[in-house]
Amino acid sequence: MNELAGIIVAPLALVAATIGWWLLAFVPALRELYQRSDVEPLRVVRGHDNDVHYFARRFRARVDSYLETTPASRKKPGKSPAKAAQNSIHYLLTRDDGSVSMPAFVNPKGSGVNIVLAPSSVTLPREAALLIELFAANSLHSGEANIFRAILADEDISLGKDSYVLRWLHAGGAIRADANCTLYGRASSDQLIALENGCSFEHLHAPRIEFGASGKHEQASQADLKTTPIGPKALSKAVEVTGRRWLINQDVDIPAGRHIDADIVVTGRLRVGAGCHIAGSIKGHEDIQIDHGTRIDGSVVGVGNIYLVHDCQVRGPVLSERDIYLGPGCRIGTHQHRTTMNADHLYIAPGTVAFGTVRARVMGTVRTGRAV
Amino acid sequence: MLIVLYSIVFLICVYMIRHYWFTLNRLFGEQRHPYLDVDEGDWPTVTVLVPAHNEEAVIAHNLEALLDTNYPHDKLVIVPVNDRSTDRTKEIIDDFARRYPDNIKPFHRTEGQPGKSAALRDVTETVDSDVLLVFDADYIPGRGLIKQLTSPFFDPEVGAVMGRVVPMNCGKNLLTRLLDLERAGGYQVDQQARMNLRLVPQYGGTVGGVRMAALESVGGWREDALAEDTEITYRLLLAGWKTVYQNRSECYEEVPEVWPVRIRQIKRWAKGHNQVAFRYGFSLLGNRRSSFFEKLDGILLLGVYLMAPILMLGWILALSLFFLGENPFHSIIAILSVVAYGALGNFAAFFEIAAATRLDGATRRLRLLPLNILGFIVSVVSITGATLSQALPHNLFSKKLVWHKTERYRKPVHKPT
Repeated sequence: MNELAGIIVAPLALVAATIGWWLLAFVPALRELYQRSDVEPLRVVRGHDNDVHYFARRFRARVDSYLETTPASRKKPGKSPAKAAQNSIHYLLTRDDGSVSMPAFVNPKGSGVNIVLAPSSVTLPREAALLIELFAANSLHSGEANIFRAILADEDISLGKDSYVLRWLHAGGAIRADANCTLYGRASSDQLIALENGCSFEHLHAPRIEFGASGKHEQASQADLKTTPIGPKALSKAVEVTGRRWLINQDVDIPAGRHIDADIVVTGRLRVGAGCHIAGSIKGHEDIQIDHGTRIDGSVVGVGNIYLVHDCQVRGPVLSERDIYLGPGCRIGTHQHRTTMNADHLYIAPGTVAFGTVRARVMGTVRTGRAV
Repeated sequence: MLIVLYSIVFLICVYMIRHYWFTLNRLFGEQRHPYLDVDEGDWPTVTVLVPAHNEEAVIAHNLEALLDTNYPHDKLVIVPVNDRSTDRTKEIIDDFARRYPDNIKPFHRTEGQPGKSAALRDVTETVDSDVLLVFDADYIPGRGLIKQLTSPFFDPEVGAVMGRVVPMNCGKNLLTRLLDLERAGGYQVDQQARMNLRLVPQYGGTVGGVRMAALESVGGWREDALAEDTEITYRLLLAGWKTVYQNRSECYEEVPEVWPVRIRQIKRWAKGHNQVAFRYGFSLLGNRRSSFFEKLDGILLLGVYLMAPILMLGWILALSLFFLGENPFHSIIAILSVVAYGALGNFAAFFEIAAATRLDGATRRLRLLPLNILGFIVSVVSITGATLSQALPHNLFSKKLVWHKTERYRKPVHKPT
């Protein structure tokens, strides 16, 4: 009897144990199936539209909501004692002796202050630090080596040399940054951004962006560029022409002073000679070098580095998956055609102007010197 | 038989390595989003096509969302392609066209060959813009989506672009939750890894688009294509155009809520994919415009649906050999290989799904992963059936096409003004 039980029970126990062991893996799954703890669709933010002014707009709304509760408090320096809401604002005002009512804290945590507000134009002292959002109803002039978390100004912002902005800044007027400033995050202006030599940045957006503000920015007109046309076969034997596109499976050197009315895709290295006019876009799978005085009506897209030697003009986007080096006198976009330039690193010589958006995935730098 | 089995196991291992390669790249590799930050430029003219066949439940949502995008409206035309709808689709579309005459220009089809490819072909002949985007009628694009999908076309090498679709009805039942996981794996890992590695991201036919010049250069849409999206991906690739994937260009879609609809959907995909494999597989191998890795990935991608019947054959062979007592030691290894593949390899791609879910930050739904074996089995059986039926001479050469419309689950809300 015992032997029979052993013959039947043992295999059954083995089967049961095996099935049980197998089903064990399904326990969390079945639990989640019935508990439904994570059933919401992944969040797709419908309103997300890459708006560079997003933080500035949100902060402005916050400022407005605070100001609605504190209409009379703009006149007194320091904290206004009347209401709790007023206590959360610190006012930067210029005293009669010319000093500014700076808050006593550097780090706002625990201070009860949520916003620092400058109701009229203000000039901050050297080495001031405000690790809290600052709203300037007029213009803001920082001293040397100031540190800010974020700034919103209705008019101009000028940053003294060696200053830092850690998150973002936006000005209704111009933003001017003196030498060696560092702008992390977004910097946007409704008029102009001008960065002096040695400045670093991540994301700039303005109708006009000047690099090396004291350098020359007005470039000789290239409307009368003297060029001669060149055909695809003269350029390379390895070219395939499909409509407007020339696809070239080798390195290419476009001789100086040539005119090409096509889009060019090069699977190797591409060099565009001086004084050329490309009435289309170019793409290179390796480095692209564009020599001085060349004009490109479309975009420049590079898998490798892009070098614009000097006094080049590109109307469309300039996009590199590596780095971009711009020599002096280059213009990216125009007043009428704002555009985008982005790369991991951007090295831009003083005297260059961009119109629209300049974005470095790692860091951009204004530095003296030639691109190559 | 043993040689056949080992060949199958080898193929399976190739796909398994591919999945691991993609997943590890996605987790630890350099991520490519070269066009994502383009927010200013001289934007090209865009036509957005919205193929619609009996879409009264969803078409109004779609058109409202498209009109709300931040693309310059003077460069945007939306063309709802009403293909013989018998419900209120035409009425709704005409109402929008009346209210937004500059931006909505409907295209009503009443004759010609049915099917999305044929509809696209007909309407494309009327388009004169630079870029053609396609959204299914149940998709709800975000404000910045048109710009995001158009920005890659500043690159003169780009022929097509594809965004990511995200299931919106994922919490409905087990099927939708499994499809949600599967979609996450397919887009968050598979497509983005292909983009990172410069392989062959696939144009998916919706939440994406093509450059008109590229489309014209390859002869336009083929109206006999069963999967016009895969078809155009490969024809562009053969002609030297790139397809790019924009993982952050996300858009909601509905996924099937009942198994019969899901089975029909995957059968349709399988047949379309196999048709492309049959037509372009050999051309791709000899294509001098594609890199070695593009060819390899392209061929493996074309073979994805063919792997289902091959896998079934592998299982049958492995078990048969085992019970016939032939070289049992090796057969056990073979069985283990096949089973391991079932757990780790193609279709279910569990590791991919797990990584994708983690990248999406939705960790608790990951617990459902073991249940994906159910979706995997249904897929393998369905695809095998579809592939075998396709291999019948009658079906291989038949050109009869019909609209294989996926059922919608939203309730119609639009009341014409």
